[in-house]
Amino acid sequence: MPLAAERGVPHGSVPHRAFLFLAIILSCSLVLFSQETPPVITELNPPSAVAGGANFTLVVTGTGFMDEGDVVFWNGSARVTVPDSPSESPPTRLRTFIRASDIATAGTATITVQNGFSGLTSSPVSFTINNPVPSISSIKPSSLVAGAGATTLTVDGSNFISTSVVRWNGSDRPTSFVSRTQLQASISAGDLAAAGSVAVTVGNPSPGGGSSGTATFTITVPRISVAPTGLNFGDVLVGTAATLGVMISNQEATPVPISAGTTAGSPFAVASQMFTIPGGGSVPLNITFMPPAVANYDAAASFFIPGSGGEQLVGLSGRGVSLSYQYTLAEQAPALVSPGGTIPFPSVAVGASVSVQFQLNNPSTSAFLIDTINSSSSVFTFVDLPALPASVPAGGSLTFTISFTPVVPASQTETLTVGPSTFVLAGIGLVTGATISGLTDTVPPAQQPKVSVDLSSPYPIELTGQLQLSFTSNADVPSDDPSIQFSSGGRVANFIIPADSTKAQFAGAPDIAFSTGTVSGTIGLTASLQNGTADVTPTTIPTRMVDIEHLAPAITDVSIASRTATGFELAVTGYSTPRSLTQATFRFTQRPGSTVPTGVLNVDVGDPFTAWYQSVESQPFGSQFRLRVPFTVQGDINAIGSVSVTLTNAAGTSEAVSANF
Amino acid sequence: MNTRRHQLLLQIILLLAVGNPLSGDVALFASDSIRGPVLGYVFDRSSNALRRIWGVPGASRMGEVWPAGVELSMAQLSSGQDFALGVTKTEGRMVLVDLRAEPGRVWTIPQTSSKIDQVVFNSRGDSAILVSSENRRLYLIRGLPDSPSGISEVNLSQLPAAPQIFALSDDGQLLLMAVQGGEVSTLYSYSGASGIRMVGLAGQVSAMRFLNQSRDAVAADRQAREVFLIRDLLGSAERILLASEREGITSPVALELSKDNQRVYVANAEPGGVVTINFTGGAQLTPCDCIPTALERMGDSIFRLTELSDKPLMLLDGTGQESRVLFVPMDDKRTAGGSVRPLPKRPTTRSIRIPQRGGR
Repeated sequence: MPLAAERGVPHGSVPHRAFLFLAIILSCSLVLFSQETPPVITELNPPSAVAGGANFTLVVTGTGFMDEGDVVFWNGSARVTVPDSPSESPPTRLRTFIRASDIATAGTATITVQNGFSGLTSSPVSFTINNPVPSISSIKPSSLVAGAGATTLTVDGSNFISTSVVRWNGSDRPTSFVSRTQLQASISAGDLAAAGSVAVTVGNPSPGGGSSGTATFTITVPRISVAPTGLNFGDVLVGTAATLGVMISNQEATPVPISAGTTAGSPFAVASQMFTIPGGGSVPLNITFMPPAVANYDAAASFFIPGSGGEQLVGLSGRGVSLSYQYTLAEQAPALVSPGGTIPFPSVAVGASVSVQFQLNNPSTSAFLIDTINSSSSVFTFVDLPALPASVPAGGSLTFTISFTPVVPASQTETLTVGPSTFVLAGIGLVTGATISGLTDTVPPAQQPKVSVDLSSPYPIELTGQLQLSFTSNADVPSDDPSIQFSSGGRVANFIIPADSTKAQFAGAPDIAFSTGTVSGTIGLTASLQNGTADVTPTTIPTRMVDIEHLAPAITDVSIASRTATGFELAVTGYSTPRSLTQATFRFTQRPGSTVPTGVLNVDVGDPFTAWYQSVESQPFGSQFRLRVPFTVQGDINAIGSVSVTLTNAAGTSEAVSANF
Repeated sequence: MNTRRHQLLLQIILLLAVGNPLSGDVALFASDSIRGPVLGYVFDRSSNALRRIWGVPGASRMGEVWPAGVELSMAQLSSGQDFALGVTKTEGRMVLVDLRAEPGRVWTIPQTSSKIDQVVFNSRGDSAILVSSENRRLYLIRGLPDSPSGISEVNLSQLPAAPQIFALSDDGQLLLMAVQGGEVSTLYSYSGASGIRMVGLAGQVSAMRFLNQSRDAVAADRQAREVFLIRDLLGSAERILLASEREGITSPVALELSKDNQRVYVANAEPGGVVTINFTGGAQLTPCDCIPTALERMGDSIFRLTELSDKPLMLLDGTGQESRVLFVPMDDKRTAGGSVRPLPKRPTTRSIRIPQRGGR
């Protein structure tokens, strides 16, 4: 930017250039005609002073001082000045007197020296007047209870100035300057909320200034008490509440806020969670216990003074108990049943009744009121129901009888409601009677008789059932007989009994055949009846026992299994119910025209047949056998016309069966 | 258990001498001569195999699949239950399954290339007809099971239709056939000597059998509800009524004769039962809780009435004075319609060499 433009003067104008030239001439003439130099202050001693201090002497060191006539100025005010050392010429140190009033307040004073001869004045030098460092001798009050509320704190000490500030744990508080030895500060309620120790200091601002030493202010914990210090609620029914009270007392003169609570997650609760106890007063408080389950519970109630750290605890204990239910069948031990559980009635024939005694027990320490007892079924009825509502005393019980009278052979379930609980009443009505018919007490072996199952009375529902075979052998060598089976296979035959019928149907037939086998013993037939999955078999289980007797052997076939010119093999098939054989008799008859006489051959077969019947191989066949007897013929085999065979056991001899050659 | 002990049995040496009383020596020797009895066999179509029936009449049970070593698409058992003729499932081979030994022996019967769909034994079980309806041919085979003496092929193409019902005489020489045409069955005989000739007419012949050791035959007419005897087949072919609806013949499906030719058993399908006709007069009806489909001889006096199925196998026991119907329960339902037992690794299948005989 052009200089002329900066100065606002047109560039190159004549008046301006003339003025500049005149100034330069004047300056040069002043230098040429004045040889003196102004004094220079190089040091002040003391360099500073404390505000409020006493009079003192200030020594100003410098150069350019004259032997006499130099004056020290204090903030432009001339002060009596003398050389510090009269023998020094020119002097380098000047002494002047500073009054206490000059340093009454902190700040900065300007020191200059004016030469008495030339009248020249030195450059000013600053002199600092510092604030003092305060100190605390005492504080009032020095202690308060937590929560006591806002208060004024009086601080005694020294070096207090009007700008002194009282600090509360290092933080400034509103401060009033009373005197250089006393300050007053406002302490808020918040400052006194929590118990503990507080560092109190006083601070003076700069210049100088600083912080005093620390005085300790104590905030004490409020004193409260709770009685009793423990509560035992005893046995309380699950889902119900029990209440006990405590008294909280404030031993302080000032009100104390209380925050009350119980162990988190516990079934105990206080009636009020926040309240204030007046100074010297007491407050009652209820605590409830509502157990959610059958269990022992231990917890604590806490009475806490917010912020103060003060707390009182009350131990809490109680046990959750529940109503217990039990039922008792005739001449049986009581059985417990839980709500939702099943009370099983004994199965009973249609039209008959069976009773169960039901009992409700109240184990709690308080009475329990039952207002409802009912069942929605006519087959389950109450016999001695108490008047409702009925109170079940603490530790007492309530008893009544339920009767089950089925009308059909079926599973019956109904809901029993007893107060807050429900139960399932379950019973099965049984068929009144059934018979297995079609058999005599003794049946021959290897027969296939038919049996039927009949109900004593019809029912309006379809029933299913099974007829089951069993066998117990009494043979000389006992064994099961796998051929004892129903025609449908196996030893179990299924049947149905149509609604309103008494006759069992086996795959559409009114009876079913079974094989009696070939082993002596007892065949048992047992019927079972169902309605769905319910077993409705009569109490007297339909059973029929038939015997297979020890009989003489039976031969079912005799054949010439093979034949050669010198022999043949005879095959004899049959059975012997005692599973024993003693003798085989072969009676040979000559061919017509032959001269070979007829003959009989008795053979003891006891041992080989005992071995056979004792063998594992024989067991699938009951008492059956196929005996192959090889004959070696010495003579004319063609002379034999036929052979007749009989077999003998302890029960007798079989009929003869022949085979022709 | 002393296994050796129970195997001790008897060997009897008979001394037969003229003029002397019969005498015998008895000696103990080790043998397996006492075993469980086998009542017979039945073809299990679902398993393509034969099954053994254990036991005696009235106390029997179904056994396991008999290990023949091949799967069979059909099989016909001999009356003695000692062998069966069948067709293999995979190759369609005609085979003879020898049941007298275990494991099984299976013999291939050659020269029966036609598809065999029916096998008819004579009552003795030593001859059989193998019928190929598809080709209107049949093959006569004799000397079964051990020494098949030959096989004769008979061409039936001259007949108006393929015959469906057959009977074979015990000597294996005479064949009786029924051809159904409309509402009439025409009966034809065949012998090597006289060839095919018509012997009579009937309503609907449903079963025919030759009498044992005879050339007379018995036939059942389902339409006429009659059973009649045909005498002198190669001559006058005289027809004699044996039983009719009055005796209980309602729907005959099968018939069989007793060994002594004294009784004819006729199976009625509806109502299920068996009529036993005595040649000496009289008839007896034995009801059955079943629908009979056959009367297959299983030994002397036992006859199979039904096929193997999920129902009990039904038998007719003609042993006593009065016939009785018996069941054979399925012993193990898992195997009743189940899979065939794994085949032996080396099935003993061989071929029979049968000399060819001339046929028509």
